Amino acid sequence: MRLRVAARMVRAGAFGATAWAGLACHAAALQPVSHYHDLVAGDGEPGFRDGEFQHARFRAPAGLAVLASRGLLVVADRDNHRLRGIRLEDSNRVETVAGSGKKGRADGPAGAAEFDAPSAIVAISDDAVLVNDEGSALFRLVDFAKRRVETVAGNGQRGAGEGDARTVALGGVWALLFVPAEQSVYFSQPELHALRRLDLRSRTVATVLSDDPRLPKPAALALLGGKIFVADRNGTVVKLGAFTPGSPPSVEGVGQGERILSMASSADALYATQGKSEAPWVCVTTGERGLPPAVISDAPPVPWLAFDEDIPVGFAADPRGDRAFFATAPSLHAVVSLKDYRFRALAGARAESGTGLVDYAYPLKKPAGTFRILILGDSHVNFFGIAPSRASLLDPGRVETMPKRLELLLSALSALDDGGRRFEVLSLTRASWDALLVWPNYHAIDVVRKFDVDLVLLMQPPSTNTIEAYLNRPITAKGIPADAVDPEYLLKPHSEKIRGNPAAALVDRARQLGWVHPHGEGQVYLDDLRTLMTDGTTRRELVRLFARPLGALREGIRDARSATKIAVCYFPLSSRGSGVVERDFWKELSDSAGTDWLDLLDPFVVLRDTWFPFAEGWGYDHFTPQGHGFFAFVIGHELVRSGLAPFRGVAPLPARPRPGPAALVAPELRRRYDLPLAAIIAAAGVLIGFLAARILLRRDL
Amino acid sequence: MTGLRRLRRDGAAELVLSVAFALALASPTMAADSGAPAWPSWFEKNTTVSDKKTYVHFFWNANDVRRRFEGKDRESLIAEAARQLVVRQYPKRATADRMKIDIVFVAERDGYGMPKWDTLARVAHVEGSRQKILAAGASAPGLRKAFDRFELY
Repeated sequence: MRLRVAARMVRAGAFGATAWAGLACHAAALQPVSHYHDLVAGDGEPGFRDGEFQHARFRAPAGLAVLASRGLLVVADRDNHRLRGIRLEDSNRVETVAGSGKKGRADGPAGAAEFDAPSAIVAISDDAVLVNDEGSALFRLVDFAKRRVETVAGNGQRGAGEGDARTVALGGVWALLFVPAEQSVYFSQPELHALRRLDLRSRTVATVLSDDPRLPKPAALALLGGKIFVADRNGTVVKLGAFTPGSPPSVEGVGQGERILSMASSADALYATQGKSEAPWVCVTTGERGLPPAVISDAPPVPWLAFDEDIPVGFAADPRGDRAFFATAPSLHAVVSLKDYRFRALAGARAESGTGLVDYAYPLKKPAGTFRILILGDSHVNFFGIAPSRASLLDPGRVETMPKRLELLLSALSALDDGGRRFEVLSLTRASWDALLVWPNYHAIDVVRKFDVDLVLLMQPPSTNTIEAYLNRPITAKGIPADAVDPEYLLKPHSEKIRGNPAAALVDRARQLGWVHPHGEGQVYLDDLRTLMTDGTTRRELVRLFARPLGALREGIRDARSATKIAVCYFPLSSRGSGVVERDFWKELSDSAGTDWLDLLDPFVVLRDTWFPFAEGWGYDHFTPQGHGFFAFVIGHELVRSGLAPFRGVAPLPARPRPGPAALVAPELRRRYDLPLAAIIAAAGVLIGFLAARILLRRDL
Repeated sequence: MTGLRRLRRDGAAELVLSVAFALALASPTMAADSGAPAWPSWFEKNTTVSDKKTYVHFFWNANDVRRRFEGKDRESLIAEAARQLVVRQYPKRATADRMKIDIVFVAERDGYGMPKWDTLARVAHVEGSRQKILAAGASAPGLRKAFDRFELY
């Protein structure tokens, strides 16, 4: 305990301390990761051990069932002859929930009951599961409220039969499916060419299909929209019509897979695991193959997701999120989780999800305990700068972009250092010169609402096209530029467009200073932001003007979801100077619009030379894949440090002090006029001396 | 000495071949510039049509075929282009009869493929009744008169 407290105190420092202090003391508990495909429990070695998820051991786990209201994932631990429970709301802690470990068929108290190779398993209520005890050819009911095990079907003989449940032969059962409306459990026996049904009320067994050429070897089962879906061992997936005793139900083909082992449904889609397939799972509904994200597009199958061909595997939907599943297999000796965010179909860094994101297809429903960050940015968020000589060798995809690396980094750090949250980093980008302060007003607010976003990061580099947007686009009732260029408006004379335009005062002042120039048909352009900032009046006008779209975005987000924060995240680009000169302007704008402020400039300056040989994060207009990693690291660090990303036990630190105006002006003078530093200091000395003399003289007088 | 030998000696054979190859490569482009107008491909990704309720505005960036607008038939080509825009691009749900058409050259695109508006030059602005424009027919001598406003820049 003392260690933990000590660790917490150090962790209150910052990101680095958070990670390293926690690990060094071993005081903070490791937490399960929630990224895309993760470990749920089990160290991968066969054995028997309860306790922390990463140390737990299973021996040939074969079936899974979720008791959502109990936060319990039940594992049929086949060769340990036990049922194990994974506490999903307690860091996936593993415990034995039924079975003494002795191979047998004794009923009774859960801890003393015996099992013989429990395999398929299904939840039949909030408190109970039905287990196919394959070794004893019995169906066992495990009631967790009563903590008892009871045999409900089977006479102990292997085979097929109908009638009183306790008198029929069982065995060779591949899958179980509970149908609540019928209070029945369907079960498949592929080697006996049969699909049968156990009525839990009457405790009788009936044959649904037997030796039916439409389904010669029925195996995997799933329920979707109240309908029963059956996968034959030949890969065909069918929807079953209503069952009436005595007549075989209708069968409607719905899809195809390869050597389907198990099925589950989530978010109106049907999924299947596949044996010995390049794609370990498939979305039957869309036909899209389930493959994890890969840096290399032709990466080989993931070893820990390779299922054998002829052994049923455990597969169950994760109730905490859409299109998320648990999976296990006897060869894994562990339980893993899978997500379908269409990783391969949307592998290209610029591919759009169709739901408003330029990202993977994250489900709208936010998984429980997840903190969602939305990255708004331009091409620097998802484009890559690669030297032409290497372009033919590298084809980086989405998985290597800054948002995805940030997501991995935050999730990993939270897991390793007990951060208390899961993180998802969504991105919405527009690869163009379109004004970043403007277009999110039209596209981001709906995304915040739909995806239940907690934090919006507006990734702002130096320079902006906001003034051009004001000058070239119609102005809306909110006083901000329209979403798109209206060519007819564009062709109007400048004098007409500037009348009543919120940018009129800025343009007037800039014209007085000679900073307005003709620019194509009916257009003018103003000198760059750094020039405009040097005049107090234009600077004030700029802040006032830019605060309109930024403030409107903040308001829109607040109206959409009041708890959502928005931060301007300022970062430098080598192609746009050091970024130092504009920093205070963007900070002032952020303050003026009432947004949070996340300043990456200092960490970039401190680390750019150190990271350069590895990251090449400095020197190209767009980041290399390694540069995206650097970018993500710096953002992640500052997010935790500032408290914008909640991290258990980490108190936000005060903002870093920024250099005063003099420290900013000197480098700018040097940059612009190529003056030696000594000359600037000397000039400043003369000025100060002159002013001092004036003051002294006045006093003398 | 034969002419061929003389060519070889003077190193001119390479020059002749180079020119021949260049012509062969350039001929498809030249044909596109000189053949019958390929309106659908000319308009593709270069037009913006806005239903303004009381009128419909057509905007065509003709920069890809700007050479076609440098000949003597410039005026009739612009009239036909305007008619083609009305025929092909009139929005399905629009009801307005008033047509306003701007034809421009936007000489450059930025690195993301978007038009650089500061390189925009106006070519023509025409207006007229859709009914009259459609009634005038293709390349009819009277087409020019179907427009009640016809400004060339």
